[in-house]
Amino acid sequence: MGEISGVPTADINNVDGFFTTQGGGGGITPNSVASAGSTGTQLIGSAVILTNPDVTLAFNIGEEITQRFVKIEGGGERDVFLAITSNGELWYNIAATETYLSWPVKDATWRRYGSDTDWDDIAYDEGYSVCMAVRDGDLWFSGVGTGRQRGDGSTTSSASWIEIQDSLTWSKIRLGYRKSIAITSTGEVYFSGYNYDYMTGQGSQSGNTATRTRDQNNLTGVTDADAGCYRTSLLVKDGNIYQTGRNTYLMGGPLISSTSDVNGPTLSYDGGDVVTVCGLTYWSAFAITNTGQLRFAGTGSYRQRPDNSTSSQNTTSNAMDVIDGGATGYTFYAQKSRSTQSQYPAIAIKNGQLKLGGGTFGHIIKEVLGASANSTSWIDAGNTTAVTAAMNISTIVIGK
Amino acid sequence: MNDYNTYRVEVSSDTDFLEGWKDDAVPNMEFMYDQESLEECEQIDGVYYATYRTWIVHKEHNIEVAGKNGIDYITIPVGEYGLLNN
Repeated sequence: MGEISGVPTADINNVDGFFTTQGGGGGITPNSVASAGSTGTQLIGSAVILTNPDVTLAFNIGEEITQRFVKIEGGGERDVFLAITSNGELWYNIAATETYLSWPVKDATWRRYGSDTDWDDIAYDEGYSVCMAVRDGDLWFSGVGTGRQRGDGSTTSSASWIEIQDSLTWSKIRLGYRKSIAITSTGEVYFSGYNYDYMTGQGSQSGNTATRTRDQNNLTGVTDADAGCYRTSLLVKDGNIYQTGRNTYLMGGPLISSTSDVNGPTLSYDGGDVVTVCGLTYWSAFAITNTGQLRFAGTGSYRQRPDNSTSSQNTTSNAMDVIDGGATGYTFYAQKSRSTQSQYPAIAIKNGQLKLGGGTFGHIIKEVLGASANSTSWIDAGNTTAVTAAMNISTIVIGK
Repeated sequence: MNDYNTYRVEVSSDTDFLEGWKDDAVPNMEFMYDQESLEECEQIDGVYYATYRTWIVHKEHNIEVAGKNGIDYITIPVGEYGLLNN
């Protein structure tokens, strides 16, 4: 059984000292960047760090975190943020008000967790306040267990990290609405969670998959997945997209013409160019191609498209077509999304520039610029004066 | 061809809606009520009723489960699974 090193188990008398010594860095308080030496036009809170580590470096606040964050999860309404660095460190930023996770220090400050350098992947689901991670090929879990995401047959919650006991070697973990998707180092995909609408790819719509089980079509060579915020799951294999679960708006692409639930991972897009599937919600999904183009499928009226179009692409002739005129440079897209919400703030990175948008009524713009703003258009927030107005940009960091 | 049947059963304030029940033939699964609290259940003359779905397997089904000691290969025969014994 694995252990996590450098995590205090007794009373902590000198928190800052401990983490400075063990973790190799002090915390970065959200919205403290100005006092850290940046100029007025660089008033960036932790959210920008969260959304894109490259932006962090561009704004000269990388001094306090010596390694880039290569993946960031969290956000939503629980003030839980997790990040891993390129050298396998785990960092977290959890507010004291978060009740489900009992990590060493919860003070809404960026802190390193322990001293290990083998954290490979992380995922967070706001719905059940669940964190999962891949550490040196093993799965780890922390949070509420009743969503069946831990995938070892147990529903026990754990406020601290526990290792999931299985013998497989994992490479990626994704969390979404009442489900988890885990990918092995050799590209097999395993699901756990509720079997709603075949979303766990087990051939069943009944009960739940309590113990992590391979998809019924035994896919191999899977490289990415999005568990989404509702009853759909998307997988990437050979640059193509496979879909299981709900298909109300042809969210996986044009090849599945029926809007009925899809029973098991089925080829839905066959362009062979997809690297990442992302932003999967009740309404739509995105994919980033190997040339940096952004593909989109679903309903466009919620302003999730960073090209500001509200056009839908939910037919067999246009689902998962490229958007933004085929522009390249996209490296990131995500949405803050929950099944109970109809307004999904969204974030995209295009040519290294942070773009903020989403939401029917300019929801995200209000959060960034204040209640008086009512823009329904996306804004370019990276290295622009728009960011100066951000009072608490962390509120727009997105979860699953 | 349906792959489930829906059943209606009596429940009470003692019912744990978040815990499922097992069927030995499909050890990787749990079966659950469709409702998650007593308040969501139908009430008739003071008696509460919940519903649940079984799983009907029409063709023998092989699954691979991530077990503690390796992959567990399980064959699920044709049948209906998850029936409560009441």
